[in-house]
Amino acid sequence: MPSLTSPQRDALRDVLIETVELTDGSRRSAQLVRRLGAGALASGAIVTALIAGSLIGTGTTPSAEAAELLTMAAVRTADDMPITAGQYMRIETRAEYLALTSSDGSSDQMIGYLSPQVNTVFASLDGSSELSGETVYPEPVTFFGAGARAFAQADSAARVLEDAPSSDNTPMNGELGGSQSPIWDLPALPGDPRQLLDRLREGAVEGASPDEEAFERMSDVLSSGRADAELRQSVYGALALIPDLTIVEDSVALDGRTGTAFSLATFEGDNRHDIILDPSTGKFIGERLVTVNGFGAIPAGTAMESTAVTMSIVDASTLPHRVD
Amino acid sequence: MSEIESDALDWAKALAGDGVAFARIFDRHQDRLFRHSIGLVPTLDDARDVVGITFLEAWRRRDAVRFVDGSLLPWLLVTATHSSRNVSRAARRYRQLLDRIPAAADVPDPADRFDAGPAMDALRTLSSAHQEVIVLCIFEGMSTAEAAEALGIAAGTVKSRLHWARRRLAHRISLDSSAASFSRAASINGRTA
Repeated sequence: MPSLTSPQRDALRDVLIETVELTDGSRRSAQLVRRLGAGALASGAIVTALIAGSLIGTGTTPSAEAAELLTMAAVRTADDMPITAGQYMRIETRAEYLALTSSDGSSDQMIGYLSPQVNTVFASLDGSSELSGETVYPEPVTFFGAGARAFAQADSAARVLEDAPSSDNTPMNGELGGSQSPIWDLPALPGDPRQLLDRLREGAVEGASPDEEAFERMSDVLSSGRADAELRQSVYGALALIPDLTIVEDSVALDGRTGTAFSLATFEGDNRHDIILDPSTGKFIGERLVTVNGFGAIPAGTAMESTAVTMSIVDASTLPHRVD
Repeated sequence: MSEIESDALDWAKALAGDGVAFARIFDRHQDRLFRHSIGLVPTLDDARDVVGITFLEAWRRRDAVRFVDGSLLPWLLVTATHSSRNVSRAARRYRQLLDRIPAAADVPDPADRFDAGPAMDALRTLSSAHQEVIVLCIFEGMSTAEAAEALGIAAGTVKSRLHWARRRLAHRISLDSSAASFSRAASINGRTA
C-alpha cells in the first residue's frame, strides 16, 4: 500500500509547524459572528436587477411561478435585525429525523419513528464568546410500523448510556446539524446569483446532478442560521435559476409557520428535497427531505428530515447559562 | 497514555502555539489519511495534497474541529473526504504551502490513475452527506452515536442517511457491474461495447 515518502512527510510536518507558530491568534469565528449582525448592504432594487440580469439569457427553464416567487422573496428579505454589544443572536432549530431499522435487513420491512430535537445556539456580536448551545430531545410522538415504539425506546436508552450529557452540544462552526463543508465558507461566497449557483455546482459528484448538489448546499447555507440578509437574497436568486425547481405545495406548515415549498427531485427519483420560504417576507422557514413513494412501513409523503430555523436577538441576562 | 488522549493533549498544546504538538497529531494520523485519500482521488500527488489540505483546514477551522472520544481522526477523515471531492479547488487556498511538498517518487507516469476498485468509484458518486456516513460507519466501523458526534448531527439522521447511502451505493455498484458484464459479453461476441 502506498504511503507518503519520508521527504514528503518531513516537508509537510515543517509546513504544519510553521503554520501553527506563525498564527497570530486571531479567531475566525469572531469574523463570522460579526457577519451575523452586520446588516444587509444590498438594496432590494439592486437585488432585483441582479436576479433579472441573471435570468435573462440563461437558457434555463425554471418554473415561472417558482422564479417569480423567489424573486419576490429576495426583494422582500428584510435587513437583519441590528445587534449591539452584550446582545446575542439566538438561533433555534427544531428538527425531526426519521430513524430507521429493519426486522430482516430489507427495505420492505423498514419501520421507523420521527426523532425530534430542539437545538438552541447563542452567538455574540463581538466574538468575545464562543458559539454555545444546547440540544434537547423531546419524546417521539410519530411511529411507523409494528415495533417502532419499542425501537424508539431502545434508541433513547442507548443515547442515555452513550451520550450522558444530552445538552450543551456545541455545534460545529457554521452548521446546525447540516453537513460539514470545510471547503467553502459563507463570507467568500459570490453575491451574484449566477456566480453563486456556478460556485455551488462545482465539484458535483457523478451520481447526483450539479443542480442537486447546489440545492443541497443552498439548503445548508440557509439552515445554518448564519446567512445574513445579503447572502439569503443571493441564494434565493440562485435557486430561481435551477431549471427543474418546482413548487409542490404553496401552503406548507412547519413549526407553526406557513410557507411555500420549492422542491427538487433527488437522484433516485423517489425522494425530493424542499426548501420552505415565506415569499411575502423573504423569511427562510425550513427544509425537508420527503419520500415521494414511501417504503416499508414509511408512508408516501413522509418528511424523513425536517428542520425549522427561528432567529431572534436576546440580552445576555436572558441566557440560560453563561456562554463565554 | 493512549493515542486519543495524546490527540486532545497535543491539540491543546498546539492551540497555545506549540507547532511540534500539531506535528505529532500529523504523525499519528497521516498514514491512515493517505490510505483513505488514495481511493478518492486520481493520483498519488492528489492524495498527498488531500492530506496536506486536511491538516491545514484543521488548523484554519480550529474552533470547529470535533473530537470523538478524544480522537481527531473521524473529523480528519470527513474533512479529507470533502477535500477530495474537488481537490484542485480545495488546494487553491494552500497552493504555495503544498508546493513545498515534493512530488511522489518512483511513479513512472504522474498521470497514472490509482485504481482503488469499484467500491471507491461508487463512493465518489455519493453526495457529501452520504459519503460522510459511509466513511465513518462502514469504513471506520463507528457506531451511529460516534458518527453522530463526529458530524454534529442526530443519531437518527446518521441512521437515515446510512440507509439511503447504502441504497445508492448498491444501486451504483449494480449499474457498474452491469456495464462491466455487458462490456465483457460484447468483447466475447466480437462487438464494441
